Amino acid sequence: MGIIEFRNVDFYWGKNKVLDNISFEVNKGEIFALLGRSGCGKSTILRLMSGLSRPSAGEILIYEQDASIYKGRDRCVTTVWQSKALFPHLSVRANIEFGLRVKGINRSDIRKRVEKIAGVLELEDKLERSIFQLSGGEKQRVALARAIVIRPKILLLDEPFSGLDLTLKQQLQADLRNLQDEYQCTYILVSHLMEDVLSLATRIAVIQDKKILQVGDPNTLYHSPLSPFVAEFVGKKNLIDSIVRNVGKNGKEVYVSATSGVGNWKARNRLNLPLNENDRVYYVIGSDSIELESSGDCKLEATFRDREIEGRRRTYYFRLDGKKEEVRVETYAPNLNIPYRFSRGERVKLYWKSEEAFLLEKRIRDTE
Amino acid sequence: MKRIAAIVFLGLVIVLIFIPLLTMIVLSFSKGRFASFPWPGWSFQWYLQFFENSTLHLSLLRSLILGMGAAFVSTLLGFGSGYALSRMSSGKSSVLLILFTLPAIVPFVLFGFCFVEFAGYIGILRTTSAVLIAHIVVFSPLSTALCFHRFRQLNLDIEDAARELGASETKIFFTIVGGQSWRTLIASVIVIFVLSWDEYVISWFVSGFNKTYPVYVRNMLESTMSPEINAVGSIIAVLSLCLMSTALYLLRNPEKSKEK
Repeated sequence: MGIIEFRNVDFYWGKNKVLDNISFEVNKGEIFALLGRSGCGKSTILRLMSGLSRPSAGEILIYEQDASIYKGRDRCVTTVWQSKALFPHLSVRANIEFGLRVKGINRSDIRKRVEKIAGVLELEDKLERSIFQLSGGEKQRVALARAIVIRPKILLLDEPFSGLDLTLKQQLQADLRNLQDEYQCTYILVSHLMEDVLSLATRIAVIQDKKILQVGDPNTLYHSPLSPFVAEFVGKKNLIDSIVRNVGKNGKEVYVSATSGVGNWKARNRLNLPLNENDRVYYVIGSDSIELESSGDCKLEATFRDREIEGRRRTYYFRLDGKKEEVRVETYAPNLNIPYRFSRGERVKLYWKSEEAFLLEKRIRDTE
Repeated sequence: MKRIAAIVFLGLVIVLIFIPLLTMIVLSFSKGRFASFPWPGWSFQWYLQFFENSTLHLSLLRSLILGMGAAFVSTLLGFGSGYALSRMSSGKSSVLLILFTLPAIVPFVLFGFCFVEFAGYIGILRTTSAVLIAHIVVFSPLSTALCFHRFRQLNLDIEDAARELGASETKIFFTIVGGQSWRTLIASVIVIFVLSWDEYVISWFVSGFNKTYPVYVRNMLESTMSPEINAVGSIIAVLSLCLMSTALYLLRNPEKSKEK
């Protein structure tokens, strides 16, 4: 039994369908992430969970009861808003106290609970300040304190990491873990960046175009995506448009050739797709599975286009011939001065092992 | 050069605006009855005369109560209607806002004339309550507009955040919406007070024997040209100026000015 469950939920804004047949379940104590590009409907799911909007069809259950019964003081879901939504006319203390006061908790308890959360989130010396005197990171922590101090069963976080630099992001992730130990609540967070949730979430639902494409733990989503979108968005995989040439005896080993004609390769049919000769598929290979010098049984020659360097991580982009297709290669340099320097337009050989590649179905829709 | 021209131009406009006011203030301290040359000398006599004129005091008091009543009631109405309008779609709210503003843009002479008929019909003609109702009708749209614009600037997530923390709609309206907009509400009270306090045309039609201060002053001017009027006028002009400056100060966007 999940703490919160969506059953075939549809939602319309006016005449626009925003969510289409959404079903999933979140278990107690999880850190559940909704991941998708902006405008895919993920923030709407949060509004539905918090009861601020009602589904147009389907059911939302919290503790097996319809979500609409939790009203006013009985609400057990709070949100840390993307806009923070702090009360600008109230002090930090009054902001954090707000929910407790509304619930009619006595003054000394309020004081104790506010001091405690302020201690955990390092806000003790900021309590009497005005909201306008806080930095972005401090505002985020006040918003978090205000939402969690009332001990909600479920805490929703709408893009909690947007606008924070790396240090603040890491601090917030640590704060969230500490608070979960302390307050025993379930987190549901929304993000458009895979990097922000991959290390924090216990399970992730990937949403695209009003629908949930796949739900799973980060490892599964990263290594075994079921759709091209998840492969690209979560796993940062390279998808090469290909045609099936030959299917091995047990259907496990498949030989394909790229539609652009840049190569013929072997791959595992990990998802057991019912493949026949001449079927169109995506040949999927992770950007961290491709190597630039050592060999593998698969090979491809491509044209260097650009690179991105982030500390020891280097990302190279290579253009395949004839088409707009591109291959992304991610490597970690042993030190910062390694000599991988290609000049633009240079022909480079890329290698990988066939057991690391797999195939995904290519539907007509994907080509649009 | 451009800068000097701009300063000169602004200076001229300011002089043009303030000359009548300054003339009145200077004359209120004059010894003579009329504006004359050479200067007859300085004196406080008109102010002393004003402090002894109890009929004038009564009309001022009446205007004060009337102005405050109109200001508070109009602001309360504006607070509610402005909130309702601000939470509608832009199309609907702009149509309704125009509809709301109509009484305020009908010429006061016409409005006063019509209101006399109406007040007579419901039996309150020639009472201060009639003036109060008339002022609420013509000035509350201003408050609605002021509140509407303030509420449109508010982040709706803030209200949802309060809702989610368990606050009732009444609490959200008064503490969250009201709390973020108190400057606008006070500004609205001040502006409407000053307008109602000064309003002559409608009061002349409706007030009867319970003369408000502008009607009394107008009558005074018809009978005698006493420089006492300059004294009253100066006090009121300075007060109004201070009040309106406060209102304008309050109407700045508080978030913008704080978040520098």
